[in-house]
Amino acid sequence: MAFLEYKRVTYCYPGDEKPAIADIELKIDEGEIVLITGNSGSGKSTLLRQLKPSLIPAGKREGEICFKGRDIKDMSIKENAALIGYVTQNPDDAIVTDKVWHELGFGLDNLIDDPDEIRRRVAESCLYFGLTDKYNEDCAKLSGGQKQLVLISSIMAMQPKLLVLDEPCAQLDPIAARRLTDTLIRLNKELGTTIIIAEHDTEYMYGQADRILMMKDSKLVLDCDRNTAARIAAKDKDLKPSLPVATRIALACDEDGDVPMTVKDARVWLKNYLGSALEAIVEAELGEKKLAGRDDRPVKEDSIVEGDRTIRDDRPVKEVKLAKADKLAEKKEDVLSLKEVCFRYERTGADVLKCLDLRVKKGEILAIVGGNACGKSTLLSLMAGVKKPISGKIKNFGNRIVLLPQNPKALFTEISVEEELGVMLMDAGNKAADGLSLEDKRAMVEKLLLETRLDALRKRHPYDLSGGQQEILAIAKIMLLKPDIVLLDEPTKGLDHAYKSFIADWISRLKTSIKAVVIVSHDLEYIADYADYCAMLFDGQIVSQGKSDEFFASNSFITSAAARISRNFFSKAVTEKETIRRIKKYV
Amino acid sequence: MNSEIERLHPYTIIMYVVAVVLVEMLTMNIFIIAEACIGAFIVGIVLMGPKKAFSDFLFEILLSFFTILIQPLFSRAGTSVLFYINDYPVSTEAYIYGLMVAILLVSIIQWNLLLTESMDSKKIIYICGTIWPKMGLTISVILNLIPSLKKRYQIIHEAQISMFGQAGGWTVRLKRRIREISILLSWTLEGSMEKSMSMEARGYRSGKRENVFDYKFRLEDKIGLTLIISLGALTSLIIGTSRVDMWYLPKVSLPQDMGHTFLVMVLYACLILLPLIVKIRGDYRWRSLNTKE
Repeated sequence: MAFLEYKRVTYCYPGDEKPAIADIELKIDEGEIVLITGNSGSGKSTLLRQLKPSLIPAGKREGEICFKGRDIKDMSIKENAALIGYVTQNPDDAIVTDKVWHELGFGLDNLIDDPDEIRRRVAESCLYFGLTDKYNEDCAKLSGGQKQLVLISSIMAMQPKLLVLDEPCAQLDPIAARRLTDTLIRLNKELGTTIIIAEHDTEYMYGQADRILMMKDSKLVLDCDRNTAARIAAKDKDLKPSLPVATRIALACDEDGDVPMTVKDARVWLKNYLGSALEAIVEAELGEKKLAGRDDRPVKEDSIVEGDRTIRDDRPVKEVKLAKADKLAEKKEDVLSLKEVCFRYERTGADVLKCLDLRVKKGEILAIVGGNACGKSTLLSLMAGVKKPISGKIKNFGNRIVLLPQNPKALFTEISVEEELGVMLMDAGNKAADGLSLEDKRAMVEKLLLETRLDALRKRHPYDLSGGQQEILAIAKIMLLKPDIVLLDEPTKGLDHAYKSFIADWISRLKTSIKAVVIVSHDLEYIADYADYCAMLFDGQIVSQGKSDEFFASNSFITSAAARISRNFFSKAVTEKETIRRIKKYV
Repeated sequence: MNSEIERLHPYTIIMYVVAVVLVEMLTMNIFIIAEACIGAFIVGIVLMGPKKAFSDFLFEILLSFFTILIQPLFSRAGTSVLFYINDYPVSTEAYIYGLMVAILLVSIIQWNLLLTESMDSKKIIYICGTIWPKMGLTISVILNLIPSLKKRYQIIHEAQISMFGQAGGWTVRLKRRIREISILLSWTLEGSMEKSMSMEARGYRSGKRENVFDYKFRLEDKIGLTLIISLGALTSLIIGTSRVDMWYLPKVSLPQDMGHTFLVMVLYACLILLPLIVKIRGDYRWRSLNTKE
């Protein structure tokens, strides 16, 4: 008797002809960590929601799902809640009560009558997850990662046998995501809880999963251990992005070799793969840098290197170390500049931004990285002119600057996609639409619908679109304002690889039609691939900025996985593509 | 709030405030009402500190001013007329009556302030929860939603400003605000689906709910409640059976049983100052514990 079994399960949402999941056969053993990946729309969420019948609408379902021999349909709500825990991707909406202690006891409240028992289990769960100092805190004051932890703690207090998570790290910054994944692995190892987790970003979980499932077009196309899964997926262009960067690089160079899954394994693999040519390659790649006396540290554009100290200065660098490309960059005009900008929320509070300097040049994509709640969104609001700084100057050189918030839902007012686009051109506040006839406006909307591939979805309600489609629609909306500079707050958050590359390509193409793009993102892989310039915000100031390949090459922690793999092997190979190219160049 | 007060059972706190306010409501005697008002300030200063206790003071002053000034509009029967406005007599009695009403209003505001400060959300939910469990949860959900909605509205508002600017007459701005609220509502309704899924996944709707916690009824609470109920009942009894009431129109008349009024005021003072006994006892105990070697 398997722990969890899907027997030829097919499910159609009400009103749909095409099944959301088709003919799923699956057996999961107790104590396994199972990782499910696949593009959005492939059926991952539907597959997981089948375990919680109260969460899915009453569509057509065929087949059986057995949990420890019992059909899930036969379980009462209470039993189901006690045995199977379910965590969604949006902690802000999933939190129900106002205080942490209340949230922790919420699930148990529904199951047990004895208040002493409830208190004991809540205390135990709280201790295990390290939430004791947050016990009396308001839920509203917690960060996203803390909220997810509270939710998981609340579910684990009910002591379920199976924990199901549907993209729990989608809305979290990388550090919180890593902490959450570590907690889940710890849960599995110390308590033996079976964990089924659906994720796009498999960087941390892949190496720990016992089984990998991959879904494509409602079907389960892969179901095996991680090594085999890696080899099969590497050959399929739709499944390949689900693998970690380390695996993709290794299998792109050597299909039949080892399968590293972490950065550490990849570095070992790379050393072995380069073999005897290693010394020569390192000399060739990093030699000139070594001669300069500094290993991998770039010359920052706004700094003067003096001996061992680097002084940050506003004056342009006059060093010969500047490459020709950088000299050309210096000549590019500023389209937005912030000088000694200070900002705080309350008169008596601390400064969020302290004497911050930043310049955005024409034709560039600038990425701003930094920790959680360090003021990145505030910086964007200041740049957009929505908030005014307490001191310092922000010059926009007459440019129109538009800000796209993190959640595209903040922009949607209409009931269909085409109306959403149309209403932008009909608003009196949109100066770009002045003087356009109705026909012109219609033509603009049509063009944009085709360009964004939302043509087939034009009559759909914006809320019925997937996350990636909503993001695309939101960007399309602000493009109708014909802005000069676009500020994007986390455009690729929680998106699958297909949408991420579509949006990334589109944003890159924007460089030709608008003056500059500023992106705030935690997604270091994406920034390494697409941004021209990077700046790091820390303690209210920009502590480092430079061209993105130099920026990533010189950082140890805040950098892409590819950069961490190729560090001390290749110079400035910060993206997967570049690393593969270098490896293939030498071997 | 004082930790001694925090340790009290919610029933004790609520009974105290209800008793004080009920007694105040029973009579129009200006001395008793003024006593309640001054008592509210004294207890407020001792328990919350003068800054918190006087936080609504400006509003209260303005409210009193307004109440006193408009009273002659309603009370025209006073005998000592000061002057006439458009054939309406404006009398001293009217002003004194207005003063009584003003003091009553101010004291209600102060007692309410005291109540909200000493009852945190946990206690409120407990009280509602024992009467009606679902209400306790509803209040908790509302208390969670309010800051979250505020944050969300801020994001929506800033996005709209960045897209369309802030220029325009008041009709344009009103339209924009309405649009922002409509976005907020749809977004929140969408989020509520997720919330209900999160609740159901954890077993909501499966049966009866229990309160997560219980407040213990300690000795302090038993003594406190006994004192509150007995003092409150005694005071009310004396007010009810003697002639303690005052009239203001057409002539201000002092209460006929001054002796009983005095007794009521003494008992009422004892009732009002009960929290001070709790605090003083707490301070004394703390000091004596900490001076021990």
